[in-house]
Amino acid sequence: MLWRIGVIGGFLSAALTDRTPSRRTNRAHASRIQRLYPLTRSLTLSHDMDEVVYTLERHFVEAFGLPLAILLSEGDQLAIRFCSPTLALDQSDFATALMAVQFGRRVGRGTADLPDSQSSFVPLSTWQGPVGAIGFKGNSDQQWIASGEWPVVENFANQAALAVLRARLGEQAQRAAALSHADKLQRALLNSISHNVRTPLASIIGALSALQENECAHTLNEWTRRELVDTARAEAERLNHLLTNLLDMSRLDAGVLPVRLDPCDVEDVIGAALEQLGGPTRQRSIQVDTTRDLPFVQMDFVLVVQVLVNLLDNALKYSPENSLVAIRAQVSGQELEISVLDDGEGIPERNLRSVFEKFNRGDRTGETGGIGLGLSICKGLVEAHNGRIWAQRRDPNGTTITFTIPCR
Amino acid sequence: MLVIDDEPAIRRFLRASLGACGYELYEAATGRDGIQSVPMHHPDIVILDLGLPDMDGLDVIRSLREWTQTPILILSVREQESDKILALDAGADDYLTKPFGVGELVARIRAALRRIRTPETGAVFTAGDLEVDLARRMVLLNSRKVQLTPTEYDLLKVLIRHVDKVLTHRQLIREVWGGTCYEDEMHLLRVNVSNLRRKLEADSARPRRILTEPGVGYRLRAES
Repeated sequence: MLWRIGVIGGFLSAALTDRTPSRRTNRAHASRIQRLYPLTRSLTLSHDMDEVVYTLERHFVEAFGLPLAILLSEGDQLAIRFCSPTLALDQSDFATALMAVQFGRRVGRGTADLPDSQSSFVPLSTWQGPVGAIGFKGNSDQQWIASGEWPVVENFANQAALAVLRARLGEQAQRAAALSHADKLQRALLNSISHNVRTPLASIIGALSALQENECAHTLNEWTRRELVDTARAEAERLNHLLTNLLDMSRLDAGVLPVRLDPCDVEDVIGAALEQLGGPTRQRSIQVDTTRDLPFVQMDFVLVVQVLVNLLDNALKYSPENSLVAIRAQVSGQELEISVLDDGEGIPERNLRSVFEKFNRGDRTGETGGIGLGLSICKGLVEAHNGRIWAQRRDPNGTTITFTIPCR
Repeated sequence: MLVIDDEPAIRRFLRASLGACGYELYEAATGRDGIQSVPMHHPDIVILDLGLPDMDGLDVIRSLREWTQTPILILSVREQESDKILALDAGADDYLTKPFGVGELVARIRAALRRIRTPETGAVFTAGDLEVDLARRMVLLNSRKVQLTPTEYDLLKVLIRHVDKVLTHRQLIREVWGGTCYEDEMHLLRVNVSNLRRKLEADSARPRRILTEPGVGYRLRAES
């Protein structure tokens, strides 16, 4: 015993150079400990908690071949993050682990505290306090960790503790970032809604009140009446469109949008989109350019129609009256490729990607109205079909937005 | 006609606009009241909102269909896609998605009334330049004979029998193929509709006769 204590300081060198009869055991210990050395490197490469835990588990099990438990603190409690299949973790083991965390030192089998325990736990201590404990448990007939090996185990436990802390801080930072992003989105949404809902409502209420209040209603001529009614109607349609988009977005976000794949006639999809657009397409002509004998493609009819409606609606909104708007559909490789082209001002090169983000309306503001959800919904819907969507500038001006749907 | 809708604002709007069109309107705010009103007033048509507070709109349809063939027009919101199909399969005649315009509503009402007043389509169906002689199984477009496959003809015949009415995919599959294997026959249905359009429509990408009701089914338009 005394001899072993003497070895603790420079355990490895002592073990390797030892010439006593217990040389063989010591060499076995040395190689066990050596197996732990790559742990340091693996830990620095672990990005998140799962990887950290996996790394610890792998190296410790490999080094000692003993059933292992990794418990991480959550508030005042310890939660199991890993437990070897052969290890039966009972109440007394938990008590041992808790005590190790409280005392900040090894507790259990082979120590002065709870020496009768079958397990032994080493705390995972950091400068911010303990983050958990690692413990081994073995029957008396299994080879147990030599007392000389414990300091090395503790040393690695400290490194593991830092890795756990780092992963934990990383998780916190990520959550905070997600929260602040969500917060920003929510604020953008609220601003956008209050503006985009109030404006049409103001027109509607204004128009209706002009028609209702007798005093002024008498002086209205037929043309003015029509004008007021048309305004109210158009603005109400705009509100409806906005609400539809908001609902779709929230369903996409919540992942509750079911995608029903059916073999669909691409021409039929295009026809249904044109039909649904109704109003605006009657005044503007849309050129449809499809190759004959397009195959039937597996997709959700309603959702793809909606993608097209959104794209066409944008194309019509952001291009001059009487300019070209076209749909092209073809099969390219293993994909159906549908493009919507317009002759509008186009999207600046730097915004070609960001237009698909929520609440991004490029540099467009003002008259055309809209909340900047249309394209991000399209992206969500296309991706729900495992397809891709992208925007390109047309020469000399205008935009092409293309999406693909895999043909199985 | 009878309106079953729990929203007072919708009832008020329907009362005003349908009243102006000369229709007499009875109202019910619950499914139970609605079911009781039908034998009392014998309306020509029932306008039914699917989202009722006291019972499922589907049950209202089933309960009415036990004893009457009065046309039922469904009002629903867009998110009730599958309910709409269930309602049509349960025996509803047509549907409108809220919000809708009065023009659209009146058109659907007229079509439904026309169907019950002329229950048997004659031996010859005409719509614009399309002429189908059901007795002689002959289809003429612009007075020129169109060759249809037997399945295409059967499909057209079913659509003609229910002209102006939306038919769900399931209803069409049942009537044309008599089948129940939805997945396979869905493909057949789409292919045959596509072929029919190529033969009967001026521009098959913008059909004017055989209209697609996205996610629900097809409808043959009487006037094109």
